[in-house]
Amino acid sequence: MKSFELFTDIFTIKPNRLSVIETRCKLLCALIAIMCVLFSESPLFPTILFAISMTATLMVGVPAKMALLRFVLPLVMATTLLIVKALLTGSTPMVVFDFYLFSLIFTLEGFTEGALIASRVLGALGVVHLLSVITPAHDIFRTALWLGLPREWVEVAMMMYRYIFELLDTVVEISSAQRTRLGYSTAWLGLNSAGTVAGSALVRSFDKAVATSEAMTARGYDGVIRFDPPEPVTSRDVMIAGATTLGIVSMFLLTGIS
Amino acid sequence: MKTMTQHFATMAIVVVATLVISATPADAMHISEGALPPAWATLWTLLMIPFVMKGVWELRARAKTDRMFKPFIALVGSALFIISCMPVPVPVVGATSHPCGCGLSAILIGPWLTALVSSVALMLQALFLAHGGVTTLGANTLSMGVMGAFAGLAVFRLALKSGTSTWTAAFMAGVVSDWVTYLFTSFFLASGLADGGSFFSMFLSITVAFIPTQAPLGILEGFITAGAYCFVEQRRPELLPVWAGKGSA
Repeated sequence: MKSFELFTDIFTIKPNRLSVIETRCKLLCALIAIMCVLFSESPLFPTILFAISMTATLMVGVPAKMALLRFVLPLVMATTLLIVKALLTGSTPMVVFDFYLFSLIFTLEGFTEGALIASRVLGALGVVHLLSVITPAHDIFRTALWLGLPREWVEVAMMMYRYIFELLDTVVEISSAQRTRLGYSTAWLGLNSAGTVAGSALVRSFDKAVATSEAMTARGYDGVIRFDPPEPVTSRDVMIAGATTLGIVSMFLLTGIS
Repeated sequence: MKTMTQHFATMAIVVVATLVISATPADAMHISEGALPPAWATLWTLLMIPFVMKGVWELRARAKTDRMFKPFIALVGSALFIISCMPVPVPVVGATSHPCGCGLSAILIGPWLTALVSSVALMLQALFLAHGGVTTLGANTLSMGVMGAFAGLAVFRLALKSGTSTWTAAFMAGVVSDWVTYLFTSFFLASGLADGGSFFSMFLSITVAFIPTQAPLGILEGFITAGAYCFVEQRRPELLPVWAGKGSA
């Protein structure tokens, strides 16, 4: 599964108990959860939150393989950070590897701090990932505008998100044709082919821009994309957000402060 | 007190560990969500804002005279997003990695719009690919969309002024932008992780840890940047001034 094949929002359009909650309430809960993770002094709280987020992610129908693949890179970074911290900080030896000229010392303090950072990475990413699989991108952008982000930024984000899927088909098509014609059989050919795909993507993007602009003008586009205001927050949304926030903060107070 | 030999040994083990760990498909290494303490994450976000806002103002100004400029920039941005997700083989590690695309973007649409487009691309990656993060958006945008972009553009212009070919200039822009991006990624990570310890040791170790993937990847990025730029220059030369803001989209 290639990186851009992981880029999909198909799960957000499937109705479930979490996707129907109003976006601002979900964003508020996610923000509070991330803040608690960042301020957590113990790896227990982020780890529990990660477990809850992953369980919820799987429950809304995201395949386990896809969820795990999305977490490969954060895991690589978390492990690297853990090793770096354990080797470079602290003073109490935990594990010592004696070699002929030197010894490698993994310290207790470094390992503890590294484990905390690694758990924060997983906990925070779990929350963001869950948010992304239960909230359509359009709703996130609409809420971003409501929150006061520059209109141009939101418009570009929304259009980019839409165009990525269109251009992906083109790029996959060109790459497949190149592979069929052994365009990646040697390293040099592979580099040339990759450069050609990148150049083609840019040229096609311009051609698509011209076609898109004509279509948008025909539909009345005058340079500004108009967004509907966010859906009204219901009392049910408030209750869910309140209960979730209370749960997160209580868990943080119980397990996140050492 | 650790000796110099121990420091080098420590870095060596970090490199080996990274090679072992990253024997799976690697990726453009953004700072993950939660990796930076809140104070540092806030500082880098605040420092990012002026660059992105300058991009927003440039977009706003150009969109006033050319109402198709926003869709056009969004399409260029999405092309760059896809380029940054393209798997490229990294021979040293025996895996695939991905270019940043910021050098290419900077020489095509300029550094300010690159900062804007990068911030959007990084936000989309954070939300929908779990690459990078929302709280680390500032650090990632600064390293990729600002430092990488400005460095790439500066090298491109200097190389052209010194009389080198367009291909070589674009190649150098790609290499430098990639390496500068990862140098600043290491810097931002070290700032958050040093935590009372030696900042320099932390910075050096993280930089060394990135070398096995980023040194060859930077060169690959150079080839892709040169290949893509020269492809456009040969096939559709009329597009380059439009992208650079010297014509209408």
